[in-house]
Amino acid sequence: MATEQQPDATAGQPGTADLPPGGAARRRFTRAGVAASGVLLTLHSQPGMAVEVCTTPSGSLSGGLQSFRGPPPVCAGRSPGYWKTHSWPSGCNKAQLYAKIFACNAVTARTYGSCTQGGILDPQKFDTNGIGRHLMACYLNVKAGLSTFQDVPMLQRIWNEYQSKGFYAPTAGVKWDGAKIVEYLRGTMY
Amino acid sequence: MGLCWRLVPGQALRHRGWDTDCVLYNDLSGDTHLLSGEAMALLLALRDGDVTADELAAPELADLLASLRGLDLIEPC
Repeated sequence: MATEQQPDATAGQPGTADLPPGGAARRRFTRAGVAASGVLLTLHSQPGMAVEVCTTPSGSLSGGLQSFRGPPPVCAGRSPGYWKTHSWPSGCNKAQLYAKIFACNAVTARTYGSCTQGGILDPQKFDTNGIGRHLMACYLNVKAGLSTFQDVPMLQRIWNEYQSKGFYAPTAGVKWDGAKIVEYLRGTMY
Repeated sequence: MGLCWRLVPGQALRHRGWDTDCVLYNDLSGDTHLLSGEAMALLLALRDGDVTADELAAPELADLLASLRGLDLIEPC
């Protein structure tokens, strides 16, 4: 688990970062151990990158430092607004119910459960934080091959857990409320 | 007398640390680096003037200094 050593370069010298006491980086520099270590990995920035998150929910907790085997992931997710005005991937149907993909329980049956897949892309009063809207867009992104680091079961797990518990746990000990879930989902889109 | 090193101007050393390692944002390249705690400590020492030129001349530091220079984190002064 990461510990934040410093949030931003706000304190101390202008343009530099002060650290609170404690932590590895705070220890006095010594030559001991240097020879066997140093720069372990570099995550290159992507020029013109628009998608902020290009990894799974649990991967996003590691700061995006995730190793990929095989072809690099496609990180070109589109927003709910985009899918409202553009053609859908093959096999997807705007007229079908949202619940056909994201199963609804008794609590959500009259709201999400009665809404179409096309309709959920419009802001709905019942769609707190826009979870349904963004999950639907993510689903279309997966189907269109625009977000290869996600898959449908993963999105369904997010929905099912949020629906039943009111939060989603991307990893043990971490709980995302609705706002945080949407923050992640939105980060996977342009 | 060893070679003098300093941080490349513009590097704010924004980082987060784990028990042993740190991730560091490179203000000039936009990259994010995963560094050992020792490497991060060296950068902070350079920033704070806590390391002498003679200390930096130690042979075991040569590779690390070259790596950090290659990332535009430090430069000779």
